Amino acid sequence: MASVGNDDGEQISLNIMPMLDIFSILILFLLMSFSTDPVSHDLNGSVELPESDTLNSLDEVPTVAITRKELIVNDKTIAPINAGELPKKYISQGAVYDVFKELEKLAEANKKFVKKENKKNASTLTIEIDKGHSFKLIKSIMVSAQQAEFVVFKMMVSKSRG
Amino acid sequence: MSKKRKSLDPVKDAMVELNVMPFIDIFSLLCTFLLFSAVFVSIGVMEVQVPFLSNAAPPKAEEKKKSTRNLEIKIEVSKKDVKLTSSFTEEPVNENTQAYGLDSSGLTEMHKQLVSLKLDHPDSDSVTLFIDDEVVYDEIVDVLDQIKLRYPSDSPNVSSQNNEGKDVFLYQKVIFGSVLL
Repeated sequence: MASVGNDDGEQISLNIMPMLDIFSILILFLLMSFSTDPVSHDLNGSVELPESDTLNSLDEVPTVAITRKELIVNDKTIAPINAGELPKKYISQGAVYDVFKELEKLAEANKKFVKKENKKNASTLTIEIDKGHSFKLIKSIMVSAQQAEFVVFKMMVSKSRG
Repeated sequence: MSKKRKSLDPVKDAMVELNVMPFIDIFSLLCTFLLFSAVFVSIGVMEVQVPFLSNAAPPKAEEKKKSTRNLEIKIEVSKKDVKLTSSFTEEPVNENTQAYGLDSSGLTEMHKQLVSLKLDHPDSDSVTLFIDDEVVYDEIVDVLDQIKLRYPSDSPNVSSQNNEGKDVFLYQKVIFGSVLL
């Protein structure tokens, strides 16, 4: 019980126990939801991830983001997305040439790093995709990445807590 | 009978008040720190592969002869349904196709069929997925969940190991067969 006195000698006491109870519960909840994931990533504002029961955590920041409005590679906007589709001028032979060019640069840098550090081949690409996009759009990005020698894809999902 | 003696010690009789203010200060700071650092959406990943061309030498005739009869699993996903086809790489092929709905009950049935295939053929660890262009990412993830993940209700004898050596997958390797230039 916390108390305060005034000049007349009156004591006003404040019951702080309920506040302590709330604080304890809040801390317990926050500690339980505290993330232990190796990488913390802020989702793009116009991306809603689908829910999945996967146990694999995100271990690298995504290189490609397919948001509702645009296609982003390495934080660089490549093309706008209108009604879930890329404008036709960006697509040739089922792939997006600008995505291929960007990923090719990345693949080259990866190869140099692998050679220098004597590490395993890093042909893995992490992609952030909005849950409403069709496979047609996803396929065109994957085909572009495939041409740049990326063959393993880590598709980001929201872990369901069920 | 013993008589209870009244305590005459004035120090013992005094009210002891606990100063909880430092305790509240610590709690407030801890709350603020946790609220700032809390991540309310936990992000995970689903790993898939795409087919690729290799410049490795083709298998020799002797090796070809040695090859065993393996189980191949193909899943075709369309807006309407999901078709699961199992067949063998050598004669007798014994091809078997079953269709399931793209809703949760249909996908659960498909998962049960995959579990029974895994129980019969524990060596098979890959599934090839063919997806129609109109299928959305949300639906693809639902199908992937049923292919890859092992649920507590599944038999403990069905599992593939992940990169950390933990038995968590039903079929670890999923190949997007339709991603070809």
